[in-house]
Amino acid sequence: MSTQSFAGVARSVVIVEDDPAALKLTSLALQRINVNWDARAFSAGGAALQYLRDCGDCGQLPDVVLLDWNLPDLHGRDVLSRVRAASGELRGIRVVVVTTSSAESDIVEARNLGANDYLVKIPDFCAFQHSLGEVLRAEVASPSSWPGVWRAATSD
Amino acid sequence: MSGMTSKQIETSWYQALVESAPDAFVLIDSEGEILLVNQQAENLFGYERAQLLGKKVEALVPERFRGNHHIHRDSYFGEPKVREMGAGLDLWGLRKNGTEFPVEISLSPVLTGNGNCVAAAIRDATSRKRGQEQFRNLLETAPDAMVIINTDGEIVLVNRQTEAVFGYTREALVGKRVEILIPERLRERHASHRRQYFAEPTVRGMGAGLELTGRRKDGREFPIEISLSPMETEGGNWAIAAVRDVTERKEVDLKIAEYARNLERSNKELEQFAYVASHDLQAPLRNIVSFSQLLKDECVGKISNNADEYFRFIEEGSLRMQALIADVMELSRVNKSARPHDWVSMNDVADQACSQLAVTIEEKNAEVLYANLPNVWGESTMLVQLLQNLISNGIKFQTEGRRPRVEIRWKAESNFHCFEVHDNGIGVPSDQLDKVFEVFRRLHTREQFEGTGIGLALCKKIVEEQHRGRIWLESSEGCGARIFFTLPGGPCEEQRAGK
Repeated sequence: MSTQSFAGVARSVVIVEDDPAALKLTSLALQRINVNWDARAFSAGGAALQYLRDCGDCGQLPDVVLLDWNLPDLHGRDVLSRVRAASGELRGIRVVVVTTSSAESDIVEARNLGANDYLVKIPDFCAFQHSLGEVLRAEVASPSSWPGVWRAATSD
Repeated sequence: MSGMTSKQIETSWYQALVESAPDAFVLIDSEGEILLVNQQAENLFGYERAQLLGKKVEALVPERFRGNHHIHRDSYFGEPKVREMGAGLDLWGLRKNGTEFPVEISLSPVLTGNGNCVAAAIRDATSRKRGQEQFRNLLETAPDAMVIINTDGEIVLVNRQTEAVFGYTREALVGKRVEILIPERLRERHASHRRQYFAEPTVRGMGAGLELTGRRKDGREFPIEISLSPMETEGGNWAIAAVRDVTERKEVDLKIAEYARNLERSNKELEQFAYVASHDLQAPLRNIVSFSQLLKDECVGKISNNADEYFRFIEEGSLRMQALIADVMELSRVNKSARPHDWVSMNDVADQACSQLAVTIEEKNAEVLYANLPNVWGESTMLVQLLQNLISNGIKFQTEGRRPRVEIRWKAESNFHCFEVHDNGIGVPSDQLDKVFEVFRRLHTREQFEGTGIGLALCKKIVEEQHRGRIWLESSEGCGARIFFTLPGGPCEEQRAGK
């Protein structure tokens, strides 16, 4: 379950997560997916958005953004809508919303704002790791970035 | 009659006319001496005719009025014309036996061989007075302030309650414009409304839908309610206004409205709290579960046997908490996810509920029976949740080794449908029937039956808050449980109106 093939390609991911424990779990899951992920973490939405804009300016955007929804400074929905409203390549970056909420209203909102996928932070770590792998593989495999195929992996 | 001259015939006619008149007739000369009386006068005053003729008319007037009577008499002869006597005054007659009675008198000048005379037509006003008296008593004892006005808007009559409510004496009000009783800024408009009312007088409330304001003598204003009725009198068309001070009622209304607002707000806050609390509890719980899993993996083979048991307790506790949180969220989501109601087939609802429960039904080899369920007016997601909970309860609370059977029946009532979900399970003791609908109420230990105790609370919310229905339980221990609930047979008024 834990070994999922990413064809050995180095990938870069930005994690936006304010809870250190949750960040640790996401990082662990990434490690265990057994791919050489270059991960960069931000605990605040504003800082992450700034970083992404800078990346966009020099044409070095990460492959995926894992975006927590309930962020204290700049809410996940604001980060997402600003990314989708940005100019240039940043606008099309893959964004996966990662949150504890499985509320339908949150899922619908994330989709409407242009999230590529939606991943619930379920308590069972192995199941979470598996879902994260599925989501990332699907994202990386999809030829276009956004708008891509909406999958919403919400169930364990 | 033969042998009478035409003059004699005429005289006898006049005599007959006077004698048969319904009123008492008394003819007096300018000195006040009685020249003629008729039969009615004899009856009314109790005298024989002979006892009156030649007497002063003051004999028929109570002692206390006699002194001034001749002055009035003289002034009448000074300017004789047909008119009422003592306009606006109470007139009294005196009988031979000394009793007094109210009278009405019309006077007309008559020129006779004895010079200027006056004919008085006298009518017993006892019964009319009694009527007036009753009217006045009625007015006085009325619980509302009664204000009677004429077409000019002048106050004709008020009762005691008017004095109490507005702070004026009645003397200060009678003859004044009724606008004295309302705030100055409203007076002009009131006068025009008053004229409209007299143009089409009916019994009705005043200013329907408006806040009416009265003004006391001290200038203080207060809310009032007014009913108007027209009244035709000899004095012309009047209007009776019944005025009620509604200060207290308005205050109570305001208080009730405030309570309702507070209640609604605190309910909303509570729902919001439940939602946020359950939502925010998920993140730390996830950390506990995930890290205890990771810790357990790291510890395999390194620590004591007890550790395995401890990890199991952590896991079980976490799972239970997770279930509780999920249920609280579901409960608070019922309020949030109120979608528009529509026609819903309860057959489809039952099908969906069963397919959600397919695993349980198969595991327990349960029988779920229903057929030809009707359409109701509701929200299908919630109704599936409802039946799912009820069916799953019916299957769950079962005696070991018995095949669970749940039957759904229904019957149509006037404008709703009544459903019954009947199981063959352990039932509920009669003293616990109400408790089962409370949030987190569990009647059994966790070893006996799994569950968080939220299922029936959720059902109650769905039926009673979201569908204006009712849900109740009938059961006796050992005979299964019968849950009844009602659902609308169609849209209610406001929903029909497109709410």
